[in-house]
Amino acid sequence: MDVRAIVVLGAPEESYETIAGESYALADVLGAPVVYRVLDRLKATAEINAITVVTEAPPSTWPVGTTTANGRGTWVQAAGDQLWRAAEQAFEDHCQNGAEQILIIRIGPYTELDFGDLIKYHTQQRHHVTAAVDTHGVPLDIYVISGSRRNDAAYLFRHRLRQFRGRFEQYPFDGYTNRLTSPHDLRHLAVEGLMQRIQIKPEGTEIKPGVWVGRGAQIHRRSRVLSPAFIGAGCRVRAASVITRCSSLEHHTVVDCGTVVENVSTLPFTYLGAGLDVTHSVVGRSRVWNLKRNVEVEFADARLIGEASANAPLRALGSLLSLASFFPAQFLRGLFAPSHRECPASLPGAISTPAAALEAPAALKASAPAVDAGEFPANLVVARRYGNE
Amino acid sequence: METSRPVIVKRMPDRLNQKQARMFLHDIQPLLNTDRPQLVFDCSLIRQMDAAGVDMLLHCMAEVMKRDGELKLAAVSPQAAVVLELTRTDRLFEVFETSGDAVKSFYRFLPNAMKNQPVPFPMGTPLPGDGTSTDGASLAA
Repeated sequence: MDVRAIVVLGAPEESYETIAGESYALADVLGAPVVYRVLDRLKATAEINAITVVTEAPPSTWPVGTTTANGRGTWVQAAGDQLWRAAEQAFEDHCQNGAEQILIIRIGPYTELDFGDLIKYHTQQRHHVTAAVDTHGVPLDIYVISGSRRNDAAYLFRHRLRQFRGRFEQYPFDGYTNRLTSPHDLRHLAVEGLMQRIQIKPEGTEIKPGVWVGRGAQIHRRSRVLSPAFIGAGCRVRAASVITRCSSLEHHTVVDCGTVVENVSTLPFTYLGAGLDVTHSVVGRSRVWNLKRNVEVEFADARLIGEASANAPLRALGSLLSLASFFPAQFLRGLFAPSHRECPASLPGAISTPAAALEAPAALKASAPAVDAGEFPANLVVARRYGNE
Repeated sequence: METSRPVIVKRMPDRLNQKQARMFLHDIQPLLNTDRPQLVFDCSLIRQMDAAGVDMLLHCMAEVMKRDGELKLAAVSPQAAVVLELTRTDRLFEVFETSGDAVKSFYRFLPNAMKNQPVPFPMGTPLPGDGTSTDGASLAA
């Protein structure tokens, strides 16, 4: 049986299901875009012979590898209203090429539905149109339409998958579904993947239990990565930084010195400045979506949250320039910065005076009982927040 | 003898970038130079704040502490709260939900005031002069 698939990357309404103007379908989760996760599962479904991806995103924003022959379908770009017309045209083309059943998927929602089982159900029940629905009967935007029902398909596309022309059968699905309509959903998807509760697996090498690292990532030896965590390809985690609580850094993210990243997902090419406390957020495109406060904050100051260039030579040039300017800047600082050292009035007097460090601290002198050797002083308090502090 | 010093509430602008921060600092410089200043910054309007804004807040805090005063933040907008949390400066300030709460907090634990006049503005009563003037600053005696 000839079964083909059409994947539509677009929302029924404008500025819906997007993050920083980009569809969630194209957003990276644990090293690969959501759409690749679906395409890989379609590719693994034996019944499906060909895949067409229709998107309104311009080719410059397509994920790496869409144009190469990797079996992830033929990509078609159609701007604005032309999206659904292009999907309808793709349906016509597949029918003319002999497709008997056509699977239509909109991303949109991410589901872990077994496509092979859906096609089998549709064929065995001899339905014309089958729609996958969740446990509440809400469509998951996944349909199987017989090749002979072109008018039904045309009606469905013209109404942006929201209305049917005739009767349709339901295929109930109670597995994992993520609607991907907000940064919360994107973060939830990454967490579920890191906890290995869904089929999404981090794209990288598991260097220790629960910590996956992508190709070319650099993690400073004085930084701490606590599992589960994902460090994408080409990421840089600089000294004294901490990555913890299911944080996921997508490719080419830079975490500068001393920054704590806790329960965070980043978009690719994100720069997190030095000494920050980035928590409970999705970060990228110079923005922070704080999940606790449910607020989006835009940063004009690239020293806090910025965006690295997607162009590799430009990034290399920037690193080279910062390295070249480091020593002259330190030299000038040494020359002109005011000194904070206090010179003693008389040098011999200062030399003969015992160092302050040799004397017992004032707090210990004041405490009534003497502290035994090896016993922890009672007037000291140790505060500990993270595992490495 | 305890003297009742004024608490000054100052509303911050909606953007705190380098230029705005400098202007704001220029505005409040006379307030910072007083003896033991008691300041409340109303942050309800802040929509965007960068490192210069955070730096200005820290500078104000340092100046106020040099003069044995107090600086508190009130009605911090979610955007400002995210930036303060991100830069770890939220833990340096006392933060209150409203300017009224911040003003009341100045009088709550004064030992001498407790003896003679337990709470100048008891909880739940409206504050005299709680409303801000047109330039964004108000006084509560």
